[in-house]
Amino acid sequence: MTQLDRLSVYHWLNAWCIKPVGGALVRQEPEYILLALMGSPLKKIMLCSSEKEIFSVEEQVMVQHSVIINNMIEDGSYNHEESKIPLDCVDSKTLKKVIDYCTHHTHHHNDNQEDLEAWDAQFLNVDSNGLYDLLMAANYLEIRNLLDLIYGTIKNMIKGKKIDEIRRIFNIKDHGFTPEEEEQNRKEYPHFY
Amino acid sequence: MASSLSFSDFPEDVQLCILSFLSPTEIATFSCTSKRFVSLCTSDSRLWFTMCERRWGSKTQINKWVKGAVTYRHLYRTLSEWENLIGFWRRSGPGSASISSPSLLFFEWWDTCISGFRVSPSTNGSYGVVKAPFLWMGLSDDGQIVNLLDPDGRSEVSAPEFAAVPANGEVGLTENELIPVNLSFMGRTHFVVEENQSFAAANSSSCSSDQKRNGFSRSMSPGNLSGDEYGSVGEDVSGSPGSLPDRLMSEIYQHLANRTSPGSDKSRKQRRREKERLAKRKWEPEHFVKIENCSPTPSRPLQGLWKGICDDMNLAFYLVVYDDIGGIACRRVGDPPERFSNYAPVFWTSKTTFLETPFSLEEETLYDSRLHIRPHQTSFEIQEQFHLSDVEVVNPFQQLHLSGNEVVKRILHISSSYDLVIPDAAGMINPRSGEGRIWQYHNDTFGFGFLCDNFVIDMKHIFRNGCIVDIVNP
Repeated sequence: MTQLDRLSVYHWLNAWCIKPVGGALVRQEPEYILLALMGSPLKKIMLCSSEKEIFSVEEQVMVQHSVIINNMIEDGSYNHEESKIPLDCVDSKTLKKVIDYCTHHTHHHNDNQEDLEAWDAQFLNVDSNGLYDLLMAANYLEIRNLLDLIYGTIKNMIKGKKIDEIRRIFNIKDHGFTPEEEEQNRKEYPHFY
Repeated sequence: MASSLSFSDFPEDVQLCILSFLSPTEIATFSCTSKRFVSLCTSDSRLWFTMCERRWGSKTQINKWVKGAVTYRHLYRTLSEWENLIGFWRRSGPGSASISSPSLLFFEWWDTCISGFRVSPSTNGSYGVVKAPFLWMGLSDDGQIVNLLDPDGRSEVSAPEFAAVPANGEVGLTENELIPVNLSFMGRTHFVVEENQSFAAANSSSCSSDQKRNGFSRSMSPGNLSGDEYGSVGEDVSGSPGSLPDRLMSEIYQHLANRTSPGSDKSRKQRRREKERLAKRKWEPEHFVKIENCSPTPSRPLQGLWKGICDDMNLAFYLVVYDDIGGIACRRVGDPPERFSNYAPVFWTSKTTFLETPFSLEEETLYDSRLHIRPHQTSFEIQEQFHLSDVEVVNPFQQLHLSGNEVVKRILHISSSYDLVIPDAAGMINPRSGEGRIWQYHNDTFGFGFLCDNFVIDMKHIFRNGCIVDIVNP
């Protein structure tokens, strides 16, 4: 890499400075990519969970998936040498899983669709507390593809189910309808019950 | 799965996101689970907007469709039905002679409406395609569906104002001479466009209240006879194997449409008015059928819509269809005056195994000796293109050879053409007279020709990446 003419690489990268991040388009400045390539490709960043545990992860990986982290690095508020990114609403267990997801998808993005889907299904084989925490973390960090994955799972939990089942799944103890309203609903949509 | 996932614990934007993934039925179910969710499930500007945005936000400007009293929920139902229009449709039936009715339509998303364009070959002998406005479909301020038809295709190519059609009184032409029409679906692959004469609504005793509400002549559409919910998409009526041919469907429809409403004894005055109304129609009902499979695929490389310059030196459109029994048929789509229909067959073949390289000497000679029909080029253009000096004479036949022929990748036999086969002097019909070849080129287009003549008609794509290419001004 160091033997290549820096200027020509710059021009080549300039043409390719748009990069998809889980569905959103993110600009990466050519100088930055160049630095990333010229410098250590395994540049790491530090993420700090709510329990003050520090996780070191490849910058490439997080920047590709999380819009929030990407913005932080782009606008320069993150200093590589000193700082760590505090994520006070994500606990260690969940953060570890999120990092796991992003790392796998970056390194395995060329795998075929079925393998990736199988891995995703296995990844989401967690209890509902875990699912909830993952959803909150993905929402906060704005990781589009993980969010879509979780929404898809939740949608499947609702799809085709009757009302009592949905109430059970989502812990809806008191539905709050008066007996007359409930009666009305049953008459209008008998097949939902 | 353990059941402690508390929906109410989610922040509202997450709740809306989850709901926006569901279908309208599932949302109705969910709204019955708890009173707290009812307002969320019916919130128009948030939930239904998100649903519209999720499904069509990348294709059109959702917020621009909605003004005045239109709800996003209504928009969702409307667009769910109209989404099916996107793509190519061909006219089924002969078309009315008095007003130019297009034989090929292309529907695409615009910012505030869906627009249908008539697509026709240019008449200047090149590969250019003319794209002119035909139908504009949008919503008025109070939620009425407004479809405006451009009978001549000469209006500006910009979305018109969608003013509501008045429920009583006669409907005149709008400022730019667009005709209000109704578009009724008959299944997913067939629709009818007919003039919206809601003048009739005020007089027809049996369905006036319906029409005044919807501005839509419900009684005239067989798709609605079963009393389906307004705007729902019914069963597939035509287009599947074994379904009725286009002409028959069109006749059945005409019969049903012209029936008098049950129980209305029209007086002489009413009957006379009805006659006058029919005479004043500016647009006869036309039927259109969807063209599925408009593009080639790796396993069906010849499939789709193509354009080529045929032996009368004019551009024509062709549709190649792979049928269920392993054959390939090519038909011409368009309105050449001397043909009998606008969907005339050109060739078909039942042999779908390609000949691969190396080709036999006989095949090579068959191809190399042919002239590829190309657009006329002026002698100036030829001189420019091929750097001919003034001394060289540009032979008009030479130009056909000079623009290098495509390299053939594979060859297919044509079983038969559909042109009239004329017996020779002895009254015999040469069994090989209908035969021909299809030459598939390396650039994934193809050319075809018949054994009885010496030409190759080269096919080119009409559209790429969802857009029509080579558009010229009429």
